[in-house]
Amino acid sequence: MLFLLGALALAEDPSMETVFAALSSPTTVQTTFTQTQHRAVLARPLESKGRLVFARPDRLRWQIDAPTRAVFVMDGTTFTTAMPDLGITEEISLAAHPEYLGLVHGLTVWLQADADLVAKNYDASWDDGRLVLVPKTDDLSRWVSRFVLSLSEDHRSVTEVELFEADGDRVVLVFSEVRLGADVDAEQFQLK
Amino acid sequence: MSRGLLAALIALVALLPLMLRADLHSDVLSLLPEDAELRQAVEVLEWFDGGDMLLIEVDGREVEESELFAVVGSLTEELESLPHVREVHAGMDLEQAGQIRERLAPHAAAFVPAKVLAERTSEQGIRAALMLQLSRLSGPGAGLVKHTLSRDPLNLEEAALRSLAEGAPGVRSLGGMLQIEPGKALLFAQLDRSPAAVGPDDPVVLGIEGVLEAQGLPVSWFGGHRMAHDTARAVRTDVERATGVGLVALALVLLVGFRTARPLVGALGPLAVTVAFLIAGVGLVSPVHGIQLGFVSVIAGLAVDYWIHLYVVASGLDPDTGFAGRREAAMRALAEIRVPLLLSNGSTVLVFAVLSRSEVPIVRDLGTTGAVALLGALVGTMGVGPLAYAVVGRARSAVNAPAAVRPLAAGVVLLTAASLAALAPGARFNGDPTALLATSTEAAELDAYYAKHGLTGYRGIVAITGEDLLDRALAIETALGQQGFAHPIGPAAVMPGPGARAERAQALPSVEVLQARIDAAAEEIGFAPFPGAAERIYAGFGPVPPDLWQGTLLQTRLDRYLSEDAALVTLALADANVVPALADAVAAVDSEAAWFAPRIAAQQGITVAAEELTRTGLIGLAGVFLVLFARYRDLAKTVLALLPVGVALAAASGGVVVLGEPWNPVSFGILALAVGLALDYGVFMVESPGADTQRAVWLGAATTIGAIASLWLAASPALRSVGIVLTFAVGGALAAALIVIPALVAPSAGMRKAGRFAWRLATAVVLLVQADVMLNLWGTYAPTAPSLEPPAVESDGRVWTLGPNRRTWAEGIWLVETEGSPYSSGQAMGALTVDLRVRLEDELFDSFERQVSSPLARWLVTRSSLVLGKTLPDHIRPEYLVQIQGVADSAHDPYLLKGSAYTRRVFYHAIHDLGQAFVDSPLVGCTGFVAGGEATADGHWLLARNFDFEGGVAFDRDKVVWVHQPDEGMPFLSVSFAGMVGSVTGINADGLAVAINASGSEDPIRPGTPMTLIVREILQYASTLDEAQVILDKRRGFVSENVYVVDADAGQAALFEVTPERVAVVEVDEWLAVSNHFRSPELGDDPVNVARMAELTTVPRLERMEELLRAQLGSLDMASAAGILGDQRGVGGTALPRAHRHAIDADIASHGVVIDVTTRTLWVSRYPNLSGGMMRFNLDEVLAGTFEPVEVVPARETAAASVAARSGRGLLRASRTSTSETAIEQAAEALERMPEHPEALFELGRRLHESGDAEAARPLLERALAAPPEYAHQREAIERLLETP
Repeated sequence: MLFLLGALALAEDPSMETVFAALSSPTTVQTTFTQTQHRAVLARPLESKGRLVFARPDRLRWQIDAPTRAVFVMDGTTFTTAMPDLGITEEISLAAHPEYLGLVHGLTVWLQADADLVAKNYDASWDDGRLVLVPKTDDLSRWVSRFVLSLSEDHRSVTEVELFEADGDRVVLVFSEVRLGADVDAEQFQLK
Repeated sequence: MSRGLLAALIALVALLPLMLRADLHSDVLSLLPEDAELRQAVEVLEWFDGGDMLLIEVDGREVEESELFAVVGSLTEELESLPHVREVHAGMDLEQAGQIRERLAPHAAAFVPAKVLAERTSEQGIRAALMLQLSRLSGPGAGLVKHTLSRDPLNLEEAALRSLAEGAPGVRSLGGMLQIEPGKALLFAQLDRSPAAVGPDDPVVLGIEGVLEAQGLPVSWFGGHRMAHDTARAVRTDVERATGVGLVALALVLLVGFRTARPLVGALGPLAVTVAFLIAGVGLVSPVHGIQLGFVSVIAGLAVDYWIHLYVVASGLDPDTGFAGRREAAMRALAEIRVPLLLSNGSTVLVFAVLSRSEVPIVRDLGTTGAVALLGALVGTMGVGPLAYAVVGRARSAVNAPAAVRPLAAGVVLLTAASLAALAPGARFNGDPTALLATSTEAAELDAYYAKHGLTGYRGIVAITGEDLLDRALAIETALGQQGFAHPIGPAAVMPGPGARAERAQALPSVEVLQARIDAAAEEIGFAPFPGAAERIYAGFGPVPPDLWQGTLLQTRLDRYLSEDAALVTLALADANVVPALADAVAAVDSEAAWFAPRIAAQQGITVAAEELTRTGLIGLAGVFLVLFARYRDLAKTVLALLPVGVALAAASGGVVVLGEPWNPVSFGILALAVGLALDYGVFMVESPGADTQRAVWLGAATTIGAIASLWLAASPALRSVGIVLTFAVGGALAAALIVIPALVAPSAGMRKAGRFAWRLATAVVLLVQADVMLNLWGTYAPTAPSLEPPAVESDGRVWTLGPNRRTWAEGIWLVETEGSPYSSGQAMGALTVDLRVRLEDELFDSFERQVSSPLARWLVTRSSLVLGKTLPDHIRPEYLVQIQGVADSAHDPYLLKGSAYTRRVFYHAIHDLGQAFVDSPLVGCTGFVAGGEATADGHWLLARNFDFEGGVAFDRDKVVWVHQPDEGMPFLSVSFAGMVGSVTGINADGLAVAINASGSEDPIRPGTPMTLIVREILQYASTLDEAQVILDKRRGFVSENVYVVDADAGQAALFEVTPERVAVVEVDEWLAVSNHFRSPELGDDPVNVARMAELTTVPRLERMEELLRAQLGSLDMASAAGILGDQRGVGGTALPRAHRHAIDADIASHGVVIDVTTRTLWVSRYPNLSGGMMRFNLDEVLAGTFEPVEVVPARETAAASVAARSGRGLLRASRTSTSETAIEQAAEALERMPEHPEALFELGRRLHESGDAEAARPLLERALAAPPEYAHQREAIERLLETP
């Protein structure tokens, strides 16, 4: 009986190939999100709201609107950060540092949904309908304990990410108003 | 064998050991004067291995960033593998940054400047730091940044890293690459080989070039090594070309001139001896700089000159009887030319001997080698010449006819020479050794690169020895930074000493307070507490391990600035004029520290050496004069022999100006050779003024010019200038020798009576012109600072910018903002207003010609001004002279024939004073007032004035509101004119406002400080009335003046009545009107003052001003003050015709200004006069960068009448100098433009009366009398006319 139940459960979990193929099919992702951070350095959980724009293969805009405004843009190998409330803009290039670039890509694996990248860096499994990614390289496991991803029914988008960091901190991202494959203005990935 | 030949052979053998010693070098230091300070600076740089680094820029804008990085990586490796390349610094990658950060972490606070620490640990700073941390935590890579948060919540590690990174100004580190602009990577390469040792085929430079060329991307590189290498290579190319072209030219001239190859072949003998002597001369002072080779062909040309003389004379004496006969003829010819030959050669050797005393090694070497080579030319001609002629010579018919006389051509030559000499004061001298050495492309590239990135090629060095090196270095770094010096860099940022750590610790609150602040901010923002954070920060101020940076890039940097017993601080210097400020700044902080400015010291040293060379050169010429006079015992003959020298010097001096070529030490030194050549021509023409000599001179000069002409194409500026100078000089000397000397020796030969008259007239004119030129030269002021090239201004058509300086259009008035050192700010002001200055000067000249219509009178005025103004600079603060020179050097001068730009500009600053000689009629007259306290509506202090100055419409139309932030003293605003560093109306940041009105007294006018510059000094240095009075007492002007000053902060004002000998004070009780006369007990009764009050318009204007003020006491404000300035009525409110000079606003004001001194606000009139409305300015807003122009008074509807009045006055001026019929027409038209104006009525009436139409004149004159007349003398003239039937 247990065997049968297990077989049924297995039968419900789609293959990783199928899931990652579906996840990586939209060329762009635009969504709003709520991020809740549970960290030792924080006196209480920090909830922030923002917007995320992603265009394959490697352009990302991560915008926090509240409680303080901040924009993080990754365009290829260049990261730019702007904190308008503090009057700060920073830029860093990782062109010359593939090891750091790999780390960054590893940490945004749930967004990129690159099957090869996942296979290289993570052990993927299902847990109660949620996709669990556990790092298998030392570089990543120094930072991340595991990712737990909730997917949409068609598996084309992530609806929630729960990140368990190596030191016990936890971050939960809940996505809403997801738009897939829509045109994205290139200026989204530029900070002036 | 003749004795001469034997002597030549013995000399050659004797010189052989010296010839074998001859060697060349390319050491750039040999181009610098042997100045002890300069040498010490070079030694200091060598000591720190910091003499020069190569800067390499890789342009990767067209490729992906990763490709650029790959090129940078491979380039770094390849360069480091080259011999003599000690280190290549391409940036700090993340791994290195991480490594440095880990080492830095426990000591971070010690590396953060005190000011940053104080801000960061304030309540606000802590909150901002934690907010930043919180924002970063919200990003996608939060996990990567959070690990430093607990140990460094205030982010001091980043602040410390930033402080460490500030070692390379303008350069940022991005992803392991240094970049100065996006897409372009920078590398710095340190070589263990001095640039001074780099020659044209230097293997190190060739190796670097090979590596750079092999890269797939465009690469530029700069630095001393490349400059030395490129220069050496360019010099070699120049020399090869000059030698080749010179030889070909020599051959062609001789072939064409003689129509046979014989003289050419024969020249080889004397030439060989000359070259042998030259090599021996090189051996004597060996090694000499390779650039000297460029002079070989020119010196050889002189030897050929001698040979040509011998050949020409010998061929005339040749009996055509074979070898023996030719030899005999040559010996006779030699005897004939011996005296001029010895005179010419001896004099030239004497001049070169003078050169050998120079402090500049390259010039000194040229003197020695040139003198020896010229002796060789003499020995070659006298020893080998006869034999050479005997071998190759050919007889011809002697031509002993007198030389051709062309008096008119001679006049033209002399006039041309005089004109060129007149241009000489406009020449610039460039003593910068870099500009001299560099190829033009390299220098331009480097300058453009520096300019683009706001860098400077001038570097200052402060060297510290003894104890407490780190703390003293920090003190100097800090002081220099605070005083505005750019980019002071020393060891303190990399390794803070005990004093720095203690000072920084004191910038923090106590541990308890700091911890409490951190805890409070953390709680407010939502962080958990950071226990022990404050203690960790304080622990950072403990001792820093000396080997902290061992094995990192920072250790390399530390080594550059710190050794066991010395430290170095370097900084960028704006220009040569900041050197005194550097000296003061260093001395104030550390009296034992030594400072250097190598490039500037070199520049100044070379300039001083050139001045000394001029003096010794004049002594040499005096010696030559004595030698020639001893020979001729006839002054006229001596002068004639020297005439080609004078013309050569005039032609060269003017020629360089025409071509815009600055003098440099080498071209200056080569004048000795020009003198030698000219002497040769002069002496030969005086000794034997026949056709043969003419032919020899012509051929000799042609070979010389042929040899040097190719130097015009030289890439080396030094050799190019030599080509230009010698071509002009030899051309001038040739013309003087062939055309002028024959005409002066036999002026009457072949002339008719008319010709003789023309010749005498031409001679008289030339002498007058020469005398005028000499007077001009005598009256020209010597520049006070080294001149720099005019800077480039950027403009979008609305805003002109030059560094921090700019010019903007404030809706009708130009706003010019400048700052910095006197020279740089002067250059900026000049460069930003070039178009305005040209227009202003044009109109000033026009105005001068209108006022003084006779050319002779103008000549007398300008020349007597030169005499009277000779000592003017002695009465002007040096900083203002330097600033005026900066203005003069800001653009190429379009008025070369009107004297040096610098001299003219100094004079312009005295124009207000000079104009007073014509006060009220027609140039200067002003009306104004001060009021405050109970007199004004809000208690603010007001100063209002009309500046009535009729120097030209441009002074009104193109007026400039100038805001200047000087290095010393206070920022100030002056309502001014383009290019004027003085002031007539202004206010400073301390709330002191000043204006001046011309006045008069019987105290004699004497040379003094121009009043505009006294006002400027008050604006810059005075905060109170007392301080203003101290300046007035100290710097007497040379004319009389009303100076009214308001100190708004103290609520005081005063009128200072100033004469060249006295200062009387009129205290102001709430308000005072001011016009153009004195009223104090001391000066009120002065006879001149009394006469002015009776005859001029100053009294009615003052009375009208006073009645208007009285009527508005208690309610005065800026608007009512503007209304008063615009009043056009007479005393008692009587109507006056438009533009009547009894009115406060007579349509002649260059500017009208109302100043609310309390709020530093000004309303400034807009063209025309006061009819164009007023714009608001505020000094504080301009300084803060928040100023926006606002119109506060609209233009009058009757503004056109103001313009009409101006043109009417022009017609009246024309009428006064016209013939009767035209004059009447002009006066009538003037009356149309100035209805009922007494001046127009009087002029028309007078002209009609003169023409015999008294009937028509009478009503006009009666109307003029009723108008009323403007001046007492005008009234008297009208009354006389009315009484005349």
